[in-house]
Amino acid sequence: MSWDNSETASAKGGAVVASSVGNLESVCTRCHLPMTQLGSAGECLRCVVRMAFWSDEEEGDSTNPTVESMPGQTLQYGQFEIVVTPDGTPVELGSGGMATTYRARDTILDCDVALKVINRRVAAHPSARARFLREARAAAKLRHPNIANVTQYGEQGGECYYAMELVEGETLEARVKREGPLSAALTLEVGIQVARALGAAESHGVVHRDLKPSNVMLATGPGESGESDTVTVKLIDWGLAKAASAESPLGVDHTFGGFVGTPAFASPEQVVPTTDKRVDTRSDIYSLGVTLWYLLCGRTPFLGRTLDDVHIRQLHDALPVEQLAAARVPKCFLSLIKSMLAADPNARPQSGRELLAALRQCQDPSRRARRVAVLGGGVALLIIICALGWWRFHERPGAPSLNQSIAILPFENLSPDKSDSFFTVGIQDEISADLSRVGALKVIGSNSTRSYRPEARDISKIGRELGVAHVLEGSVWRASGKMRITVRMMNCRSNKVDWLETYDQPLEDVFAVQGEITQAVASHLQGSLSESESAALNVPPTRDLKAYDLYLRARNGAGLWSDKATARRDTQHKIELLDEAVARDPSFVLAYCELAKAHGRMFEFRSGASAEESSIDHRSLAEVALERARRLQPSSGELHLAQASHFFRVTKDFEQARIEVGLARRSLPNNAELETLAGNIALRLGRSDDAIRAFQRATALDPRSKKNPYLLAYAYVLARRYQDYDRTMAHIATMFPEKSGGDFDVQRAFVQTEASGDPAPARTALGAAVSAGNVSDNDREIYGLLFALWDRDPDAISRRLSASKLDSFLDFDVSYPKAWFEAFAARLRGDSAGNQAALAAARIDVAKALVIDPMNGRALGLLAMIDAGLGHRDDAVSEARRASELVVKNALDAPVVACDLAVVYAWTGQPDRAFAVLNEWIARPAGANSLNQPSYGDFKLNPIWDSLRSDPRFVALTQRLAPR
Amino acid sequence: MVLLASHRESPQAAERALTQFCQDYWPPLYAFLRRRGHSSSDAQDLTQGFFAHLLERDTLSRASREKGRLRTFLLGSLQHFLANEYDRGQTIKRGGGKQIVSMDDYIVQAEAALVMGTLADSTESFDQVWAATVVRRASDHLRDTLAAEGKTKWLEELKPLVVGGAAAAPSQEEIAARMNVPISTLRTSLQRLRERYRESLRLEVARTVSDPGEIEEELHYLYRLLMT
Repeated sequence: MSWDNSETASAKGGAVVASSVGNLESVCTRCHLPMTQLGSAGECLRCVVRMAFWSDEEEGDSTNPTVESMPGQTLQYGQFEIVVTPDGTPVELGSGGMATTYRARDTILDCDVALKVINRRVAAHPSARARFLREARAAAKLRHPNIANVTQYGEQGGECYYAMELVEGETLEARVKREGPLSAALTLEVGIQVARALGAAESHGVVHRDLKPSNVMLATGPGESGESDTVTVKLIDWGLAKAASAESPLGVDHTFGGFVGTPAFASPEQVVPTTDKRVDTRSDIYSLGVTLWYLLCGRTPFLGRTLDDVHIRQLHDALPVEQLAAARVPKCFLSLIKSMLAADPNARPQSGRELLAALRQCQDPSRRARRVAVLGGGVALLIIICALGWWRFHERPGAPSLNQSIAILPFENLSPDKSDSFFTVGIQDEISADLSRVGALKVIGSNSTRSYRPEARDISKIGRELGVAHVLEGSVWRASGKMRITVRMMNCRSNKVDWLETYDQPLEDVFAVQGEITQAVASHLQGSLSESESAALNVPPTRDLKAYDLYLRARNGAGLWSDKATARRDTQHKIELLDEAVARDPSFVLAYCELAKAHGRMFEFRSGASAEESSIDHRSLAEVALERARRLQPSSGELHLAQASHFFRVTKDFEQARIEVGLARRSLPNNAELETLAGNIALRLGRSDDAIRAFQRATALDPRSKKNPYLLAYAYVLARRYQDYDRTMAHIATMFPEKSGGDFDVQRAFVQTEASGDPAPARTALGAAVSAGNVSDNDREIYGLLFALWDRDPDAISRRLSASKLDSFLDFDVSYPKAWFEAFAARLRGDSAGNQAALAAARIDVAKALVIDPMNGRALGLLAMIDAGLGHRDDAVSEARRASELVVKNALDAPVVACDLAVVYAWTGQPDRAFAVLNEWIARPAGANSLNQPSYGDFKLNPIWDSLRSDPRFVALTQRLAPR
Repeated sequence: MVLLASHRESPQAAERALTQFCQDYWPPLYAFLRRRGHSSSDAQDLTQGFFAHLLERDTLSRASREKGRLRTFLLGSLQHFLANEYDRGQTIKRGGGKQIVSMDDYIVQAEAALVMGTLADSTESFDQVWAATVVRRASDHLRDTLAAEGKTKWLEELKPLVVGGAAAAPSQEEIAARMNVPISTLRTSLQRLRERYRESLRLEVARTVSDPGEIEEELHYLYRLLMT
């Protein structure tokens, strides 16, 4: 038989990979192995392949092989003994795909517990066991009156188990099945208690993910009357619980995992995960909404036979609210349930706390009045409602609410040794770095708060300027092995202290104290730390305080340099400090990451370095540092950030850099440095929309940074969104008035010219800047030459060239020799001998530059144009093509070199090819250049295109870029 | 498949079939290249270059007449390609080459698969991703065939009892009640579905071997790969 195919073969193509990844977190309900081999429709591929060998005898009907594995044995797990019925059957409280829960006796404490035992077959799989342990840990962290406590975990003979509080009573599902729907008052009480539990889980970064009536116990206690005042509700079975912040746009679970949960109660984003909708507390809020609906109506709002049915209804059908109305649900409660069931998570209550407040609003008026009185009367309530409205209004979709935002202001250094200031700065930085790992928070760090000195602070003004609701202030004193750290969190609106704490501790506790502060701030803000992040906080970055000192000193250096020589010197000093740090503590991952980044910068600054400096192989040193960090902590977010930076700066592998950014974002969701890097990478990949989003995020996280809004503006230019560019520049001018004038205005005006094809704005701005004397020589000359070219004024060109002290002019790192412009002047005069002589001279300069830097595609493109001008047609074309290949992975250079290629074609009598190239490139983002690139202004003004200008195709092309 | 189509059908159909072939089988090649240490963008380029090379030389049509397994053939060809073409730097035109398959949207997922997998070396990783690809195709194929027979609902109801998944399956009784059939009928249906899966797997694997005698052995091999 040959390898035959047929017409019906799946046309899904690439989609196969998407689902091949699967999910370590859930197990197949049939074979009980982790769902790591998934089919396109969520089926387990292991089960599929087993069908090839299936026979009737083999297949039993059982889909839940649980208790039968242990008949007749003593059912003892550590100190726990499983309770059996008189006929010896274990008393099962519940069972799922992975584990079974039994009633058991704690033989030491002499009380009954619920014992969850993982199935033997599952336990054999290490990843499943690890997951079970994680689940137990997640549940153990949650100590709350409305959550069943987990008390112990154990393993025995290949099985594992954990014990949790036994809740006597019945599940909500059993209750509804037994007695029918509950009253609105009782349902509300259930909602309030579950909301409290969700709030607690949220502050530990845990999402339940399987909230439904059968996972909520109605505890029977003394005095239980079934009335709302006395019931106690407990949330059980955190089997699908997951650390919320660990999920990211790349989060394995929600992107590829297939579905986990119970269809009718699952949120839309749980059913069909998308990259921008993470599964967080708002998903649990949706499930609670369905649960409350079930309690009130005895059914769920959307019935469906399959997951897809339910999902389609969730998204497209109107909620059958008449069911709630028929159940006499009060209006306030009804509309709250409606909002909990919004398909868009941003339209639901955003946190456990917000939900709790809203539920309380719905309680009957007599009860509510009591609460309002506590708050100091109706006015207070009104203020709260207005404030809530205001917050919502200012929230961006998917972003942390304003209330969950904080700026970490510079701490005061009270140490007797004032040179210790780096320690104070370091502590402040580390706390902001730790807090920025918390997905639900917006944290503004030192880059943007540096200017707010401790002496005179207007907290409300700072809040407004930075767009935050809270600030953290503090002071640090350290001497002779001791330290005292005082921190206080202030509310910017009320100007009151939210929280204040003083830590008097030995110096070696510094990491523990930082961790405590972070935890405290996070929980005050209702943010959440994922399990992995909490764990990371409890692991000090190093145990060697001297090494930590060195690391802090290295981090403390400025990040902006006026010239490359200063940059090299500073970075070299940083490298020395970090080298010493890792020599003291060879397992100091963060120091290795910083070291790799510093070497990467040195690599970047290599041009113009002295012979001695050039002899150091910074690329290899960076790679060594990364390798060490990788061995120590392969999943560290900082490592991924450092790797992204390395791929970006050193190896220029932008696609790989983008992947690393995605991995880094998982643990660094609010990191301005990462977002800036992400934007820069996206620009080079020609993904201008991604770049714009990343720079917007970076700007929000670091609002006082001058760099990020500039980059954002730049991204707008490349996307040819000139109005957005101008808006952003106007914003920069307001934020940093000292910026305007000079270079800033010139740049802005040049973009206006690029957009409009009108040279006037650029000319005016340059004139003003020159007379004010704040334009560099290079810029003054190159812009001046540009105007002369636009005017097609050969004498003006020659005048400028002979007056200039410079031999060549830099534009975006490519050096244009004087002779290149002389050739234009000669051509404009009709002096072809002069033109050829000038081009020949220019060729020598450019060829020299290429000997030093043979991979420079931009320079090679220039050489190709020179050769075209000299009539070396074949050389010119092959050089231009080679140049295009060299820059193909750099979206900033590629459009510029494409224009070089088009010029080569135009000058060698191949206009058809020139138009083919130009037509392709005007549909893509523009490049970084002021001389020739696919923009309206350049096509209108630049004489380089003159040989094409009379062609109607050129007119049409220019028209396509014309301002609308 | 592709290969036969290229002889019988119009050139356009043949080209479509070849492209579909590449689209179906790129993930194992990509996994192999990544495990071999190539960066993601190089692995993408190499995959595209390799397919271009196969198509250019009409290697696939020749291969269809030869003995052996598609799995070993593709891996062998790729290794040969790397040794003879790429490493001497002769044919790869970085980025300038033709885009045979669209990989862009799935690269991040393919990367995550590498991170998560227990794949030890490049060849094992090729085989594992291969196994998943073939079995997934069998499953998709069956789904499409049943859809054409108007049995989508039937499949959706029964599937959880046969091929599992992450969501808890209802009991046979529940499903029988929902489908409004006696439990014995349901059991017969389940048996029929299992048979259909078995046929579909055999058919799919048959397309990747040259001798029907090899189907069983290849299936066993795929099974072992997926169970690790």
